[in-house]
Amino acid sequence: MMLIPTLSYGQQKLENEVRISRSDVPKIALDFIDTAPFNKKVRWYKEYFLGGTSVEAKTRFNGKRYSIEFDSDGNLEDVEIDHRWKQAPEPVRQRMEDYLKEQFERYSLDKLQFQYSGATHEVFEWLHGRLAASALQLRYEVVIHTKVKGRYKRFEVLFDADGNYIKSAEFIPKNVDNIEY
Amino acid sequence: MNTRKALLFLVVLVFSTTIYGQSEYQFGILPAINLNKGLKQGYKINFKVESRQTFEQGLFEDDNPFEYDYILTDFTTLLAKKVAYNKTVTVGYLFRVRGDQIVHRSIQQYIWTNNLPRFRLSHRIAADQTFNSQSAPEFRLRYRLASQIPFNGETVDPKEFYVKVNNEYLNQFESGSYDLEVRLTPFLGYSITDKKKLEFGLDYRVNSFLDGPASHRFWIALNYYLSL
Repeated sequence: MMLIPTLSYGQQKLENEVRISRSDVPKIALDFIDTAPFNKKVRWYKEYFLGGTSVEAKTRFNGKRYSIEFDSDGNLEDVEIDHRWKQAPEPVRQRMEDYLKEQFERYSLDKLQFQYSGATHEVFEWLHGRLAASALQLRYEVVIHTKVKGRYKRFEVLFDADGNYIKSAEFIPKNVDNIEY
Repeated sequence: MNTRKALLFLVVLVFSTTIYGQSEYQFGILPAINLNKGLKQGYKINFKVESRQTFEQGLFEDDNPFEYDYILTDFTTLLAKKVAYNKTVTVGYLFRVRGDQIVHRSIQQYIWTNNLPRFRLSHRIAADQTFNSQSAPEFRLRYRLASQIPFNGETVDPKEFYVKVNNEYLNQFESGSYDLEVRLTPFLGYSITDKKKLEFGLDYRVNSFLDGPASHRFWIALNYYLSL
């Protein structure tokens, strides 16, 4: 019997990104992106989270939105690609849906990203089409919003390649009073 | 209607009515303080004080003097209830003091916000009913599209500037007559903290253009938002 871990409400995620220029990007991250096969404009961001910072390059490639994440020193962490929910394999999707329904009963999907990680040279080769995606570690990052104990909340939930829950974090909500009133 | 079409519509309106030569205008300031307080069970209360003061008014072709005139102050209280993660229903009451005249307005709104990859969009459908002792009741049905675009990154963060543009269409019904008012309000905003925001910009309003020379109002607006 598969044990489903209970969602931890303790972890929080801060959404705080600041656009930075190329001169603020660590050289190894810059070298990676400059030699990758991206042909559209690349935007660089510094992301602040609880406990640190990271660097992120965003671009469009093969018709999809790519986020390439590096740690603060410029070491590659992963490549995230936006996908539609139905583009996840059916059995994986089903397992993720089962988990989310069990945790939240009702929820709405905001975003799905395929998250690829591995050794830097392997990710580089995969981007160039010289290595199969199966050589990399695949995870699914799902953003949902839901109602928990009477309060509306937004979560990022991470699943492995088979759709098994790994971890989750609750977004710290942004104040939008100035565009509502 | 997308933003480009809306702007084109507004430009056509302005030029087509200005050539009548009889269009009137008002120019002044519109400072506002907006306080918000979260309550239990998804409720929130919003309190807004907004004051109108003119510096110049008259017909466009006249040489109108610079003359300060205090017009009115609005006190608005809204009770908001979240009905989904990004959807809010509000009911409220506006109390307007205009000289020795008191105006009462009841307000109902439905607001929904979309988080798009690089900006936020907020839609508002609202109805209001205005009553005072000196004129017939006025009923309005309005739609507003508000967009907020950060200067930096994908969300507005503390100590960051942003642009906010509102475009609103107000259908006004009074004593069997109908009028349409269009508002366009571009703002430059600054997020002091996540709960304190300051906005400065132009609140442009045009109406009475359906059956004659338009009436234009240009307000220099200064908004302060504080969430408690």
